[in-house]
Formats: sequence, C-alpha cells, structure tokens
Amino acid sequence: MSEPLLIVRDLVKHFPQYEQRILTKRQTGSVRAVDGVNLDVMAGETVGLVGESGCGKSTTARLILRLIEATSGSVIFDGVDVLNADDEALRRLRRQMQIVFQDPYASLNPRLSVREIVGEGLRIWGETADFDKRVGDLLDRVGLNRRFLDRYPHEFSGGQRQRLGIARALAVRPKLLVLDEPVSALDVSVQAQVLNLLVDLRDEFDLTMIFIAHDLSVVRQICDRVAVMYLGRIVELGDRDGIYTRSTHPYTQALMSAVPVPDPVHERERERIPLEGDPPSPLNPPSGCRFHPRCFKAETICRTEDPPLIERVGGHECACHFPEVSNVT
Amino acid sequence: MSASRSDIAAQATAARPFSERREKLMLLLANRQGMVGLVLVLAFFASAIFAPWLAPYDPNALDIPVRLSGPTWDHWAGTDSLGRDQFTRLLYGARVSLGIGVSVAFLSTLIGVTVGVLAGFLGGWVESVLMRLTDIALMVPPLIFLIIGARMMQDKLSGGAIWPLIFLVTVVSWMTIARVIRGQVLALREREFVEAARALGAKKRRIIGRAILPNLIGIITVNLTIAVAGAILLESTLSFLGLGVQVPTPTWGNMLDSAKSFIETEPYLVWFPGLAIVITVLCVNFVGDGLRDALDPTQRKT
Amino acid sequence: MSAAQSDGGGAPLLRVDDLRATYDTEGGVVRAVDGVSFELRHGEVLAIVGESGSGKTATSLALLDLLPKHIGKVVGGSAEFDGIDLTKLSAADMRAVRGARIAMIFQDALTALNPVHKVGKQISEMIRAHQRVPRSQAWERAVDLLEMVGIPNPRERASNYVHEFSGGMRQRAMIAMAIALEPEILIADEPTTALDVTVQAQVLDVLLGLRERLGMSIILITHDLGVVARAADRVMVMYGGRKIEEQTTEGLFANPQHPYTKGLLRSMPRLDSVIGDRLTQIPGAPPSLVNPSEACRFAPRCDFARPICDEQYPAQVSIGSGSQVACHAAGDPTWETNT
Repeated sequence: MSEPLLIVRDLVKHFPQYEQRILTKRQTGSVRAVDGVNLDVMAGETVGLVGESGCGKSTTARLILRLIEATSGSVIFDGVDVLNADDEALRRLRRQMQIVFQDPYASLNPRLSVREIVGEGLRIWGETADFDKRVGDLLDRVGLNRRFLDRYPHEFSGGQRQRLGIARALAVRPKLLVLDEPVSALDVSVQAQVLNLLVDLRDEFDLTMIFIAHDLSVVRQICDRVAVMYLGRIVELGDRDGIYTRSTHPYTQALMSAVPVPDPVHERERERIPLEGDPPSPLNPPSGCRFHPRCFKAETICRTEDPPLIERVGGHECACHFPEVSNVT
Repeated sequence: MSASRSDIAAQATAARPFSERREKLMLLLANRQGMVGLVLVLAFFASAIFAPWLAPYDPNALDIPVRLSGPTWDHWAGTDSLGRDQFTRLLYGARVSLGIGVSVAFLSTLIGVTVGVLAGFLGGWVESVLMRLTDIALMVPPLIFLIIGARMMQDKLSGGAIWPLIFLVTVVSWMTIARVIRGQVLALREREFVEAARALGAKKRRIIGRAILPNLIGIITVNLTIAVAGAILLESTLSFLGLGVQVPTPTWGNMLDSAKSFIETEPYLVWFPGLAIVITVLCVNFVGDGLRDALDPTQRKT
Repeated sequence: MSAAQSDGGGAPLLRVDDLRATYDTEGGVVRAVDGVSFELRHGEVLAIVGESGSGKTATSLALLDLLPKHIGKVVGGSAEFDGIDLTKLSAADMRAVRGARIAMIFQDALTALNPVHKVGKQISEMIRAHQRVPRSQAWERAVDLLEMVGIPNPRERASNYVHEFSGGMRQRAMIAMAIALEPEILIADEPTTALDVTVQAQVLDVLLGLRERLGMSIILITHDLGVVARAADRVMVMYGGRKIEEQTTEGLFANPQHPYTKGLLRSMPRLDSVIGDRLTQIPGAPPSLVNPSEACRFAPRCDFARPICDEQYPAQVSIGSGSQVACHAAGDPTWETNT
C-alpha cells in the first residue's frame, strides 16, 4: 500500500479560557476541543468525520488546513510537515488543500462579484490568462450559468451559493477538499443536487475528501471510511459498511440508533439505545473513557482507564474496553 | 444533470442591462433624500469656491452708515455691526468652515481606519499598543484640549492660517472611528469568507484590501459624513469662543460669535450663519446615508 | 370531506378551510399560504412537511395571528376551533386562546425565552397571566412541569437563567412553558432541528409522552422525513404555499402519490442503506410566490408534466381514507409518474 496523502498524529488543540482582570488576564482552564486525533487519509478516498456539536470535528478540519494553529501534534500532507511550514511554504500547501464551508451566506464575500469570488484563487496565484473563460468554465462545471459572472452572492439561493463555494475551492486544483457540513444548511431536494455534484467532481478532479457532517445518513451516502468523534477524540474508525452495519463502540451505536429513518414501519421496530443528558463540556472532560458517564455498558475500569483507539473486532478501530458488534441501523 | 425548465427560466434573466458603475449612480439618484443633500452640498461647495465671483461686496469692506441694516434689497442677509455684507461673509466663511470640515473628516477617518484595521487584523501587541493609545486619547476632554491647543498656537492662528485648526480638531476626532472599525474587523476576521481567502493562500495585504476594507465601506462613508458635520461644529465652537480663525477672516463660527451681542435686537445676524451650519450638517448626513446604500451590493435590484 | 369524517370518529378539533395569508415584501406580495385546508383530530400528531418557503410555518403563524406585524396578514379562509373561527378573533380574544388552548414552540428556544428572568419565573408568570393562582403555587406548578419534560433537579433548575441551560434543556423548558396551561393543541415548529441527534431523540420522546399524558393534539412542522416517520400519525406535504398531498404516515411512505413527494423520498440519503452512486435529485429550485401563475407550482420541476399542468392548478383528489393529492396525474391510470 502506498503512503497516505494525509497523516495526522496526536493532533491537539486547547483553547485557553481567560478571566479578564483590569490589566491582566488569568487563565482559568482550557477547552480541549481536539485532544489527540490520529487519522490517515489515502489519496482518492473520502473520509467522513461525524459527531455531535462540540466533538471537535470542525476544529480538526481547520487544524489540518492550519487555519488555526495547533497546540501540538503533527500533520503531514504529501510528505510536507504542515504545522512547521514557513509562511511561503504554507501558502503553496494551501493551494492543494481547500475547504468548503457550511454557511452559504457567511462564506462568500458580499462585496465581491461572482467573477472575483470564484476567480480569487486564480488572481492570488497570478493565473489571470483567459480569466473570464476559466471562471466561466468553473461555473459551468458546478452547474451554474456562466453569465452569472457579474452577479453578487445575495442574488443566489443557498444551493447556488454552495456551488459557488465549491467552484472557488476547485479553481486552484486542490488535491484535498475538506467539506465542513456542506449540505446541512440546504433543503432536502437541493441537498441531493449538491451531493451528486460532489460525487461527480470527486471523480473528475481525482479529489481526496474529508467530509464533516452531523448527518449520518449523508455520510453513509458519500464516504468510503468514517471516523466517529466524541469530545475531541476519534472513538471509532472503519470503512463505511463496517461502521454502519457492524459498529462496535457503544457511542456509535447510540448515535446511529437515535437517527430516525424515513420509513415508519422500520422506524417503529428499531431498537433505540437512549443516551442520558447532553455531552459533557470539553472544558472538563470526564476521567477515564470520556463516554463513560453516558454509557450503558460502563464499569469500573471505564472510569479510570482511557481506552486507546486500536483494532478490536469488526475489522476496524475502536476505543472501548468492551467492544461488541451490533447493527442498529 | 438535466436542464429543467426552471433553470432555463433563470438563465433568461441572467443578462444585466447596466454596467456596475452606472447602476451605483442610478441607485444614488433614486435616493431622493440623498439627492437633495448632494445637490445642496455641491451648491455650498461651489459657492465657497467661487465666492470671489459670486459675492456682491468685499467681505471686509466697512460701510458704517448701513450697519445692522437687517435684510434689504442691497444686503440680502443684512449687515453686521461694522456694516459688512453678511451674505458675502457667509460665502467666504463657507470656504473656511467647509475646508476644515472636509479636511478633518478625511484625515481623522484615515487615521481611525488605519489604527482600527491594524489593531483588529494583526492583534497581539500591535493591538494592545494602538488601543491603549486610543483609550488615552479618548480620556482627554476635547474642548479643553482644543482651547489650550488653540491658545498655544495663537500666533499662527492670528496670522490667518487654518492648518492649526485642522490639526487640532483631527487630533480629537479619530478615536471613535478607530474603535468602531476595530470591532468590525474583529468580527469580519472570523467570517468564513476571510478564512476562505486565507485557505486560498492570500497574503495579509490582499485579505485586508479585498475581504476586510470593502466590507467597511458602509461604516467609513457614514463616519466620513458624521466627521464633516462634527468638525464644522467644533470649528464653529472654537471660533465662537474667539479661539479659532481670527477676525477679520470670516467663518460661520466667528460670525456667530460677533452676532451674540446683538441677539436680542438683531436676531437675523445669528439666524443666517446658524442656518448655514445646520443645513450643511444635515445635507452631508443625507449624502452619507445615500452613499452607504448605493455602495452596498445587496441593495441592488435584481 | 366524507372520507375524512368516516375514520376520524367525531368532529375534528381544528378545521382549517381555504386559509390564505400573504407577506408584503419589496419584491411584491408573497402568497405564502395559498388556499390550505386540513383537519386536526383529537390526540393525533399531524406533521406538516415542506422545504423552506413552502408555507408550512406561515400556516401555523396565520392560525395564531402571529404573522410578522405590518408585513404578513391573513387574507382569506377560516380556521374553526371549538366553534370559533380563529381568523375572525379580536386581538384580546386571540390572546385568551393563544398559549392557553393552542400553544406553540419554536426551533430556537433562545428567542422564545426571556434571558433576564429565571426559567421557573417565566413559566409561573405565564400561568398567572391566564389563571388566578398565588405566586408560590404557580412556582410549584412550574417545578412540576420542568420535571414532566425530563429536566433533572427541576427545583434547582427552576431558579436558573436560560443561558445556564444546554440546547436540549432550553427546548424542554420551552415545551414546559407551552404545556403549562394544558393546551388542546401544541404547534411545534421544527422543535428538534437545532439539536444533536441524541438530544433530538430525547425531545421527541418528551413530546410524544406528553401527548399520551395530556391528550393533546400536535401539529409538527418539520423538513425531516425521519422525524415524521418516528412521530407523526398523519402527514400533509406542502409545496409553494399549497397542500399537495395528505396521507397517513404509513401510507405516505409506502405509497406516495405526488411526484414531488416521491422525489423528496428518493432524494434523501438513508441511514439504513446506500442508494447506488447517485441520489435521485429534483432539478431546479422552489418557485417564487410573488404573483404565481395558475399553473401547478411543481410543474417546472416535474419530470411527468403535461401541457395541462402549465394551464391550471390541479384540484385536490381524494384517494381513499382521508388521503388527498393535488396532481393532474392522480386518478389517471394512463399517466405514469414513476421513474
């Protein structure tokens, strides 16, 4: 097997919390948003990052692109150390790693025309020959009319804006595309259009993708492998069918069982694993296994010992003292 | 992807009839309040610039026999206590008042925006230093500073120079905009389109120029007009206190100053310079509102 | 009509007939709700499903006279609730109904709860606004209600402010306030959309449990067909300000009639299976509701449209026990609408 395109090791991001004094600040603790993530992404594959809000999936994405600085750990992209790259090297790296954001309204500069938004990467890299034609081709490619060049973001619907964001990212021909909840703000019928577009583009541009979503159904449709995150860590990692039909971590199972299936007959028969309460605060994560206060299987060892993410049963990695295969979908 | 009928309908409306610049102009023209303001402001500026040709008299020509005449056919706005033509002096006074207003507005906005953008965007020690400086500047009571400053520069002012006034008023005018801009930049910096620009490899200068500044245009224009108005008022205040531009050079402020002794018997002497100040300030603000809307792409009809 | 009455057993609790509501916008008058009729029976959960701009929220706001002031207004139709027409009520009479007999909860609990008052106080004030009870007694009721919606340590929590609650607890608190006066109808507008799935499941369970316990009827407004499958007894699908289909939940999922409903069901990714490489997609985008034509509003996106679809809006056709569909192809065996 070849080297992975992206290697993430022990990635950590702690956001220090301060108490403001009159002239000084005092650190009162830190939010452990990402707390030791390990992940390999092979060229050409699509890896899903799923979990509930606050689990650190979006932060992980921004750390990989170094849009925020990591506290510790390493990210190696195509053999280059991202976290220690100098400004110029980082700029060159970024061409190859692009991101599409969740919010189709906040992610496009309202003051720029479509020409300037989609063509921004081309301008930055001085590729301005045939500028209008190249931007027009990109619009074509994402299913928008090339005559939209002089329009402004507010003239577009959510789905069209998301297509603009995708075109902007593709303009610089990246190898890796990080998608941060790309369809969760869209209506169902539009969501399918954008998902299909992403599948087409993945093949056409040989893209490697990291797909972040809280919607587990969408992830099943589009990803080859799936990592489930809980409180800043990956708790289970495996190929798609493994995660969805033979999950082994009790959190994965509870999460999946909570998702309602659009089939009333099946839905009313499905077993539900109820979870008590809300996820604990990453400001003060529980001892031992972070999931133990909400886990239906928790025993003494879970309170004291943090289970490592290792291959256990079902052919994929799982961080649990008592893994057990179950199909809850 | 099959092109559906609605796509085709959407494409039919894609062509835009006007160029962008023309569209901005049309938006401004469509804003009636802004237009009225713009016309009046332009008229004021024109009459200030062309005062020597428009004015019926010499601004300093004394004509004691007709002193305090009140508005007449010969002296539309009446004459002052030395028989000088008020209308003429208003035209010449506009040169000083508008000149100071516009200069101060541009200078203080330039300083304020620079400080605010640098502090907000760069953060760290740059931000700490700049913002503490701003806080300190804000703690100085402006009127006291102006009075002391004008006293210290008295010899230059009595020589007829107006740059000391521009300097002094600018020094007390840039802080508010600096703070507002910094707050906006802090918010903008976290917006996803700024992250997107960084992810594309944009350098800091480009991010400031393309992502940050264009989104501050609304605030900057509004502030610019408020600053014009504020500076005119401050200049008038100083001149009214006898500390600004010295007589015989007329300004709206020192005209008010010399009129105050006659306020009970000859109120028109207060009326005309007062009106000039109020109307200018109001019109400049109208223009600001109109400009802000015209420069905002989301206000454009599709 | 007759079909609806045959299986309902008794008069419906709420009968909405040809309801019309508009929004005044810069672009023109938006016909947000354009002739919607439906019935809500005692103790049932009726889901209203649709995408943004379909009129599902506007319908419920119109019922309670909650359309944005000066912009939205009810322009026609009736909504009969216990012998009174909600659309004709004076503002004062509506206040007596709203909250007490028909309550509403929203997607965003933060906007519905007051940040500067204790949660318990807000609930007890709500009770005291409608009933003459002493302050301490109302507070006790508030604590009971918080317990009923599953908030742990309700007595302590009643003294908290909203910002001290998590998203799921805020939603529960809003539900507690809504059910404080034991309303006959609870309108829940996207009640779980902003929540994480595990919390969403908890909140849905609370709602359904309360329905059993208090015998309420629930109008559940949502875009999530999974939530519909889990919680609803009956579903009405809205598109472009109109009702296009209504069926029992089982019926709708097993045998959808309208091409839009079919497309919607097929375009959804599934947790329990993978649908080939590509999802079936509905092309295009929802219609503008400013001066809509008399054509079927879905026709521009419909793969099966014929000339008549561009000429007139299809009538509601009854298709067996309480089910209705508004499509020209319905009842025409020669007009195939399956791919």
